Amino acid sequence: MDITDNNVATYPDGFNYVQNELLPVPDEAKESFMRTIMLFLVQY
Amino acid sequence: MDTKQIFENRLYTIKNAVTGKNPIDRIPLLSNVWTWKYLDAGYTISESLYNYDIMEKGLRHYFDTYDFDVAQECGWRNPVQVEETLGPIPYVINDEISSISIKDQCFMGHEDYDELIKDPKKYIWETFIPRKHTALKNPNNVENFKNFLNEYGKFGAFLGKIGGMMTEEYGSPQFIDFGMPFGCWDNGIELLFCSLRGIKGLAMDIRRDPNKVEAAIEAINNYFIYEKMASSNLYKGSCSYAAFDALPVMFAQSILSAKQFEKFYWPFMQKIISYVEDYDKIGVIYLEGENKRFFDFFKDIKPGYFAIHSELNEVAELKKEFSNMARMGGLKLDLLGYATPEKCVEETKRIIDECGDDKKLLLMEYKMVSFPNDVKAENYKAVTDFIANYRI
Repeated sequence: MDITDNNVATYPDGFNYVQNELLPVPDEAKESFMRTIMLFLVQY
Repeated sequence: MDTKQIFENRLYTIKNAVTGKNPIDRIPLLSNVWTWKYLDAGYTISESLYNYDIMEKGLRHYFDTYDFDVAQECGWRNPVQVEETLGPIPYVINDEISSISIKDQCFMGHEDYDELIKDPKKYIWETFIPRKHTALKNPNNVENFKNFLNEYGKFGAFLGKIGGMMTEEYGSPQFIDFGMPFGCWDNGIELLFCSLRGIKGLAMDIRRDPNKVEAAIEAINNYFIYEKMASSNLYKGSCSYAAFDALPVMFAQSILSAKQFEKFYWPFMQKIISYVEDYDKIGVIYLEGENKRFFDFFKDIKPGYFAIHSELNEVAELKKEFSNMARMGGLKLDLLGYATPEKCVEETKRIIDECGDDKKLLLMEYKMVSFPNDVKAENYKAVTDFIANYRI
């Protein structure tokens, strides 16, 4: 999967790229892990 | 007792202080000690935050030296190594005076509410996060994000290691169940207050645009809390490795009147309270500041499910106000930082005798112990030893 300009900070393309290609967790855990990552980036 | 028995005794004592289901013979002590423990071990704040080996040494010193049941902070606070992968950190660290503070942040403008309400996931990912973590403003930021995930993984591995160390070597349970279907302050109003709009921004928005604030809170809660709860494997009963199953940490109510609290905060709290009651969990409600104006809201909680900790309301007052909840607190930094060990022990005994006679008391420092003068080590040692050995 490619994303425009190698920029993850786009929605939905960059978001989906991170969720589907970069997260080091099984498929069934990706959505939950993505929510956790987002919270971390908002809070810290 | 061996380590496993110590672990079980600690869990039993804490949970039964809240539920009242079984008798306990001592008052549990929960640690509200944060950066102080690394300073007490002889390290600076920077040394600890930037080196997990040193942080582990600081934690070991703390567990080896003092006798308490559970630590709230075990290395997860201020994850600077992860944050720095995506740009400058918001902390001001001064090792000369052993202080760390955080700048009030506002990366969301008032004009952004409509976008946030319409699609919180899109707004937060595409607009808010790159403003806060500036490396994501650059094109070709895939490598930056990979570095972030790599450091996030190291951070998680460190916390897992510390969790195992606490359980297996020191017999100390986790403070909260990290598998719970919501975090401590990830609800809508707290994210607006602490991260998105900041204290001043939210205070103004509530007065000039209350309906948009309410809609934003609901949108954030739907994505971060309610969708997650709906997809979680919820089970009845309390966690077997942690003291608490829920810890709503409340900061934002500090700028609200009781009427505003009812509109902006209470609907969320009702859902959390129902979850704890319906699934037979054990929770602690933490409120920053002075909170007497909100007490009536919490009086209908069913008995035996929650403890309440209010930073500026003493446990004697909480005992008088709440027959339905255990009370947490009792240890004042004014005393621990400046009195003699004898005076500290005398006052701790008085608190236990007067506020723990019904065994619904959990001792904890009222405020976060952060700076060198917050607590004298000899006082903390005397008080923790006394509490561990005093039978009721």
